[in-house]
Amino acid sequence: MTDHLMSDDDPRLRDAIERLPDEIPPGRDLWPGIRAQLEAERVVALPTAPTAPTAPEAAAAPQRGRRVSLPVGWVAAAAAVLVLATATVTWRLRDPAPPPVAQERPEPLSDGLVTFASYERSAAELTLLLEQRAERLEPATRAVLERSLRTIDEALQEARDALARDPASPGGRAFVEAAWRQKIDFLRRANAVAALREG
Amino acid sequence: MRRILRRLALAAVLPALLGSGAASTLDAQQRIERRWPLAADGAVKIFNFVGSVRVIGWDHDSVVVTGTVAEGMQFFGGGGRSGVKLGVEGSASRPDGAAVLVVRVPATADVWVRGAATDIETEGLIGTVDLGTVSGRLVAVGSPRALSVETMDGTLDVRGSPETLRAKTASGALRWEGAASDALLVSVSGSLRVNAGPLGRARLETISGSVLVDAALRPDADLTIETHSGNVEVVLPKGTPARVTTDAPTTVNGSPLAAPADAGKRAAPRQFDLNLKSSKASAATIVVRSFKGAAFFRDR
Repeated sequence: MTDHLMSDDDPRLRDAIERLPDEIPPGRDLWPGIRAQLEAERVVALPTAPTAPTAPEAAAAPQRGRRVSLPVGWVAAAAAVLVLATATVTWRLRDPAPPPVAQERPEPLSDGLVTFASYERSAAELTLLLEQRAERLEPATRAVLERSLRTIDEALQEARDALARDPASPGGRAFVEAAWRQKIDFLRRANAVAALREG
Repeated sequence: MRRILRRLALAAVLPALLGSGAASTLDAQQRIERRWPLAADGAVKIFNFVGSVRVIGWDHDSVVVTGTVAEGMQFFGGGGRSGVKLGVEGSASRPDGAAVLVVRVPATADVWVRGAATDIETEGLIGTVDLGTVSGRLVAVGSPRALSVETMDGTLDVRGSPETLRAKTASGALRWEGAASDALLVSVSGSLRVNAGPLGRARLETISGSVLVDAALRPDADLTIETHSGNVEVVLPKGTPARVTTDAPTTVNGSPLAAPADAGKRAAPRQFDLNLKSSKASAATIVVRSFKGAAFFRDR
């Protein structure tokens, strides 16, 4: 600047202000570090807007009042710290605290066997449909389907028993899942066969 | 003279007698022959619940059906240049009402066939082929762009190299000779037998059926075999490099791998290399997972 103070009406000052850029990107983006810290502390997912603008959004936001006050990176950091503090307080006040959706895990049963609720639901629906159609199937076809379903159910039961006995068993859960997948796929195929016979 | 006359009379009557027999057989099995124009990229849907269907790809823009239909059954068919639908009506409720259909279609057409107690055979098709039957035998010969085949109780035989293959049985044995970029073979209790190659990405699943893969693998092949209680045998051309992961009791060229440390508990998946000169060399990936079956690897 100059070696003496200029008044607000000084045209040189106004020219200098006009020449200032509208945006000043931060020297380094602080947001990834802040976000990582937030997620590491398992705070509930933050709404992205309008309460917590991202650094680029904050940088792009039009400056009102005084044109230049603080570096934009500092503004973003301050906003994030504020949101972090608010969220932390909210987090601590909540009771009970449900896990974030992304962290959802199968609910463990008393025997250590994880649930396969969605598979069970799908299988039940498909079994019901098949039962409704079964009387239209020829006895020989019905026998084939029942025999295969028994084979799958026996395998499923074995895998479930093994997982219940040893929940830490390597791959134990995968075998149960594999048997469920096979069962659902087979029920779909059986329904397709039965539906075709209806037509 | 009398004997000669008797022979002449017999010779005159016999053909008539035989002819009437043949005629009554024809009455019981109506002969059919129908044809429709169809574009080379058209689609054909075929239904026949009892009997057999044979579909042959040919170099004509038309569909021609010949065959016989049991008395009381009604053959139907129709459509336009983009698609034809044909089949036998009434056969679903008449197990004795077999129909035998031979259908010629443009080789590039998309073909869909459904049956119950129906043997299905295809050959010379290069479009998209989707075949399904319940207790019939299924044979697909040729290399369609995409092949989906399914039978519950019947055997399934694929001879060819489709770009993609989906083959499923319930209790029927499944055999495939050919190559594919992407293959999925599934059975409940039927055996899976693959004499193919080279394989790209392939997944084989059974509950209790055994699995045999005797095939060449692409250098970037990804072969996954998953079974509950079936035994798995993998036979590779000598020197095939592969990285193997398995959690089943495993034998390699007759030598069992070391037993797991914690006896009585399931072994953690183990990894070993086959014919790898260096750790950075490209190699096929093989994963064998079996709940209570065993795995055998050997050179061809």
